Amino acid sequence: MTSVQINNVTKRFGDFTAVRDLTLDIPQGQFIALLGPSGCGKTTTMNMIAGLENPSEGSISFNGSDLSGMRLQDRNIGFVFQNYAIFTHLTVYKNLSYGLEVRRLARSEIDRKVRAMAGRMGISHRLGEAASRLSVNEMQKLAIGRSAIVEPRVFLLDEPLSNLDASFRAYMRAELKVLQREFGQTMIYVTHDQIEAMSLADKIAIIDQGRLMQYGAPLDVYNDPHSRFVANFVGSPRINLLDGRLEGESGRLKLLLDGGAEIALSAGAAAEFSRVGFAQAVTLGIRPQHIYLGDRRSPEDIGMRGRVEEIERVGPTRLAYLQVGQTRFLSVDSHDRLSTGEEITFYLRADKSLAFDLATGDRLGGRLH
Amino acid sequence: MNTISIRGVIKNYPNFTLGPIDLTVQRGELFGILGPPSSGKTSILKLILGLVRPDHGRVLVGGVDTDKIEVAERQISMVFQNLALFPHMSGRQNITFPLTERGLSKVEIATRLGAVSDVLHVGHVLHKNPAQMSGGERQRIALGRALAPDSRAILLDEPIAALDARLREEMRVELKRLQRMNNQTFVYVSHDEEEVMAIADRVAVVIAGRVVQVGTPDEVYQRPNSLAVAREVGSPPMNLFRGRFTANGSHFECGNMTMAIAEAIDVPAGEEGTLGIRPEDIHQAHDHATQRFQVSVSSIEPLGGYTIVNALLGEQLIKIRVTGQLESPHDYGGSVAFDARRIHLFDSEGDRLGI
Repeated sequence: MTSVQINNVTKRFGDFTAVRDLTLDIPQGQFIALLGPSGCGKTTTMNMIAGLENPSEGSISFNGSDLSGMRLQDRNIGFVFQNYAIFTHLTVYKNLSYGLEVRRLARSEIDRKVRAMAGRMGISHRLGEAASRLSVNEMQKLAIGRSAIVEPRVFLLDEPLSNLDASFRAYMRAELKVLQREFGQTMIYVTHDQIEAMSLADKIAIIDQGRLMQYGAPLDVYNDPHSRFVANFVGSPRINLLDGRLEGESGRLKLLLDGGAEIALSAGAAAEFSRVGFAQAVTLGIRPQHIYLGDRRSPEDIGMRGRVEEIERVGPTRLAYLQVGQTRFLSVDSHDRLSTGEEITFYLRADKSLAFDLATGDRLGGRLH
Repeated sequence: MNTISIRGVIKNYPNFTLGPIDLTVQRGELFGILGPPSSGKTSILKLILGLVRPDHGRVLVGGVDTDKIEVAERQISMVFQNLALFPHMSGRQNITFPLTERGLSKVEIATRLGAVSDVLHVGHVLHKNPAQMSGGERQRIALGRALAPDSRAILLDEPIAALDARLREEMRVELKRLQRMNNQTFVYVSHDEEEVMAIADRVAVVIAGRVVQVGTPDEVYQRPNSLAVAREVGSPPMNLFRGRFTANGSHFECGNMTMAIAEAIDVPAGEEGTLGIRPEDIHQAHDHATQRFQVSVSSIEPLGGYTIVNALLGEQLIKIRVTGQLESPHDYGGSVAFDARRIHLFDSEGDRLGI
C-alpha cells in the first residue's frame, strides 16, 4: 500500500507553465481523479508521478520518501492508457504473463497468477486466443489485468474509458470500482469527463490551467464549489451561472442580472452574497434541479416569472429553458407538465444559491470557508 | 417544398450495405439520426447531399428526383465533422462567401451575417483567419457558413462535437431556435445520443445500415421497438434480463426471478425473450409491494443531482437511478420493485412485444 505526496510541484516547458505549485496528498488505497479540461496539466502531473517527466520545482514522494532520481522502472507503477497498449499479436495468456516473466518469476507461480487474474477479469475462456480477437470491452479489461498482475504500488489510468461506447462505459465504470476495491491499490485516474470522476473517485482534484482549483469528495465538490470554475465544470445538467450587479436598497439586497431580470434576495440568499460590498459584479449560481414550480416551499426562496422557451428530453429527464427578459434559466421539468410558450412562476431555492465574485471567480459565501 | 424523401435506397460499399432505407423528413423539421459508430448515419447524409448515388431507389428533395437537380442547385448545405473552411479567408468572408456567390445585396448579407454570428457567438473572431481560431471557433464559423444562406435543408454531421460540454449544451438550444425561426429543415447526425434526442423533433435510429425505428424522442425512449434500439438509447442503458415466458404469457422467468406481466401477451409458453427495465424505473420496494427482488448494492456513483446504484440482482449487475444524493452504498438496500407500467418485453428475435 502506497500513499503519494505531491509537494509544491511546478512544471515548466520553456515559457509555458503546465503545472503551478501543485500540492496534493493522496492517501494509500484511495481512488483519486485528476479532472480538468484538455491542456490543464493533469496528464503532465501523472507523467511526473510515473517518472516520465521531472518536476521543475518541488518533489513527489511515495510513502513520504522522495522519488527524485528514481527511475521509471523502479517506481513499480501500473499504467492503463486510452489506447490499450496490449500486444495484439500475442495470446491473452502471454499478455498477462509478460510482466511476470520480465520479473523472472517461477513458471508455476506465473501460471497461478495468470489464471487468477483472468478469472477476476472474466476472460478465462479466452486465454488461448490472440488478443486481437477480443472485443473492445475485453481488451480494456485485459489492459487493466495486465497492469494489475504485477501488483504495482500505484495505478495510473489516463482516460482509459474514452474509446468505449456509452453503454460499455457505464458498465466499465462499475467494474473499475469493484476492481479497485479488490486490488486495494492506490489509483490515480486522469479524465476530462466529470461524470467519470464523480462516479469513480473517492476524491477529485479539479485542475485548471495548471492550478489546483479544489480537492474533495465528489459530493463536497458538487455541493460546495469554491469557485465559479468548479461549479461550472462539475454537474450535469450544467449549473445556471447568471452574471449581474448587486445593489442595496433600504437594507435589502437585489441582484440586477445582465439580461435585465431583477432578483430580490431574501435574507437566506443574501447571506451567500454577504462577503461583498454593494454594486459589485457577481455571479449567481443555481443548479437546474434547485429550480422548482408549484407552491413556494420556503419564504426565503426567490420567486420569478418567465416563459418556457424550450423543452428538451435528456434521458429520463425533461429540461425546460425558462426565459426572463434576456436571461435564460435551465431547469428540470420533474413532472413532465410544461409546454413551450407557457408563462409560469418558478422558484430558486435560496439555500442552494451560490454566489461568486465575477472578477476573480471565487466563491463569496459557502459553508466550508 | 423541401421535404426530403428517401425511397427504397440501397447503397453497396465494399464491406457494408446501406439500406434498404425509406425515410421522409418533413419541411421545417429538425430530424435527428442516431446510432452506433459506422452504422451508416453519415452515408445517409451523403446520399441526400448527392455526394453519393444510390445503387437502387430514389432520393427526392421537394418532390424532385435528385438525379435531375445539379448539386449546386439543390440548395442543401452541409456541415461536416471535419470542417472545411477556406484558410486564406477571414471568418467573415467564410460565412458570407456563399451569400456573395448568390448575388445577395450588401444589406441582406450584413443582416444574415449579424444574425448567425449572434447566435453562434463568433462576433469576436470574424476578422481572424481560421488558423488563428480555436477549434471551437472554427466549428462555429463552419456552422455559420452553412446556416447563413438559408438553404432549403441543412445537413449537420457532428456539428458541435468539438466544443466543450457547456458550449455544446448552449449551442444545441440556439441551433434549434435558429432552425425554428427560419423554418429550415435540419437533418442532424451525432454519435451522442443524448444530444440528438435533446434537439430533434423526430429521430431515426440507424443500426447496421438499416433504419430500425423512427419516432419522436419520447416514443423512441419510452417504446423502443426492438432490443437493438433499447440498447442504443438511454444512458446508463436499460437493464436487460434474458429468460422465458411462462404459460399464457402472464409471467416472465429469469433465473430465480419471476415477474408478473401486467397485460398478458400472446406468446407460446416457454418462448425465450428479454425483459427490460430502465434504471429510473426501478424503485426501493415498499413492504407491501407484491413483486420485490432482493438486491445487494456493490457501489454507488454520486453524480450530484442523481445517483447511480450498482447492485446485484441474483447473478446480474443492474443499474438503478435514484434522484438526489446518497452518501454511501448502505443508504440503499433491501429490495426493489420494477415499475410494472414501464417494463419492456422483447421476443427471441428482439422485437418488441405488447404495447
